[in-house]
Amino acid sequence: MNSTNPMPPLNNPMKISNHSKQISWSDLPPDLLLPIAKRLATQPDVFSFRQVCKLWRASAPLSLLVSKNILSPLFPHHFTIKPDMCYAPKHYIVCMNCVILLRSNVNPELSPFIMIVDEYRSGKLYVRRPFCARPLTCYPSFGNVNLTGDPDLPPSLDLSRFRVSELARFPTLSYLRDANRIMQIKLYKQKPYDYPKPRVVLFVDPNCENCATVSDYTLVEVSQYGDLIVTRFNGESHNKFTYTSKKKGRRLVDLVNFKGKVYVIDNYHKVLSIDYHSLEPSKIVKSLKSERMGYNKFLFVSCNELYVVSMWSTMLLPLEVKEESIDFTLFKLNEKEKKWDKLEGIGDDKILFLTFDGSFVASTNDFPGCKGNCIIFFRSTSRNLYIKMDCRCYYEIYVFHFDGGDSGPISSYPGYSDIVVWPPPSWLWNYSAGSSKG
Amino acid sequence: MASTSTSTLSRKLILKSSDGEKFEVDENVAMQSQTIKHMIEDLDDINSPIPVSIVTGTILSKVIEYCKKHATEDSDSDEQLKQWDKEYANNMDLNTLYYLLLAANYMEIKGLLELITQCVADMIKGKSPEEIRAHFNIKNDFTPQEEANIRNENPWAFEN
Repeated sequence: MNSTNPMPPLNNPMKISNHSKQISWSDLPPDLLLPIAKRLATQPDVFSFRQVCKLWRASAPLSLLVSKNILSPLFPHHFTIKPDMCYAPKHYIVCMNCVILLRSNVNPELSPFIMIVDEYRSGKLYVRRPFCARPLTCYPSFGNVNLTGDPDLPPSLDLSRFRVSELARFPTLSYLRDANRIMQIKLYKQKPYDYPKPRVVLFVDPNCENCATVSDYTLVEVSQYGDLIVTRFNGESHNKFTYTSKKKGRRLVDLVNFKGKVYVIDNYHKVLSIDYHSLEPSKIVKSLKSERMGYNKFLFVSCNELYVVSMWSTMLLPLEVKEESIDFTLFKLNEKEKKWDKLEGIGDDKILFLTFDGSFVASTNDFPGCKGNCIIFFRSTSRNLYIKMDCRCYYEIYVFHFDGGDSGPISSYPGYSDIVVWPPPSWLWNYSAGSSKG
Repeated sequence: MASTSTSTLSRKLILKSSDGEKFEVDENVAMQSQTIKHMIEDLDDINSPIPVSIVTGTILSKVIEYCKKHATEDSDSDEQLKQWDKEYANNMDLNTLYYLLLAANYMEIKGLLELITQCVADMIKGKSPEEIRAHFNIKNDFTPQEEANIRNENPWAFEN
């Protein structure tokens, strides 16, 4: 059809001038298609390649999927750091996880179900259960250990049977000791923090966003002591820097990747951003003095704006409190005036999730049973707020509504509990019963 | 390869494209192509043009541009060369890329072939099948039934 019209399209006159017709790549010889398919880094890319046309499908055998990653072309990534203390871990792994929402294909009217999957081995997704479970702090370095055998979930889930949508993804950092020993890391032994950290953020060299390799990435974490630890993945040796707040009583509490930069917040609401190359922190917002200091702070990005929500609990008071009351305060970053603007809520069409690995905003369209303008979070069930380092229990999922300020366990909110309560709804496993272990 | 190139550094070869265009290049530039290397070995008269039969002049000039850059190994660091490769590939439109891929394959230039296949793979990255078809001007030749079956292929392997 193009050959009958010698005029090049107006929007692209430069590129068309030499070749008036765009070539169809379906004519490419199969022996050139295979080397292209081999260079695709993730399983979803190979599947997409195979769905293009018959020739492309025939050129990319399913055997290409072996050892390819699912969530990210570059992670999981193993690395080693020379420990600065004798008991510090040496071997680390950065994995990707993904928050996915599953809907029944057969009956889309049923409540959806939310899951977090971790890819700590290439090509395998591990389901975190329940939703609020923290990621495994340590994984064995080798072997096919079935870490989290659980009768509630079939051995494999065929996701093609569900409508799957991705809500968020976060990197996680884990420690590896040696081949067979799982290391116990006792975080927060002294301090009563409700949420375990470290939480990590990856950021990529701004010069190579499209073709970045692992060496173009930098990992930033907030340590248990409120320091910032920066790890560069350049080359064989991973370099590590630490940033510590100079003022007494200050510690960094959360971080987020915002507009390609790392933004960190301290316990006084002060915000710093960190330049990729110099790693110099620059002050974005100074400390907030007038506000009641939040107990935990969570940064999150929604619609290209940065927010922080701080959580406060009567459990913090040095009094005997019978009924605990929880409150959240929300701020939005005002970049122009370099300050936090206080907000009354996140909006009736939005739900904020606070997870171990990061916070994200979802739409009420995906969660028909929820009212919106609320936070779904989880907290330790033990009264003394000490963290138990077990990966699956001692946490309870809570709901907080900005309207009215009520909060409580999710089980007391019927429309909400279908989504996140473990075990998963029956439609999830009924349709995958009988499928073999993948 | 550096040891042999000292004696042949000044030798020139003439490459002739499919549409008759002639290019004079240093032997070590042309020798990056395994195909030409083998042709030279069989050649009696080094001064007669070497036909590069399926490659047009426009494409051949691009191929030579790549080979020239990669023939002078010491002048740039690996990092600079990588950067040059990236810009070189990014400046190509899709049709040029297509013919360059065929040329690199025919002329057996390993580095160029790797560069172009990676560049194409990067274009596919993260796209849906429809987006790939639109990008590369490919017609969907599956029947609706076939398409339904293909969609059942599961991209998410789970493990407990």
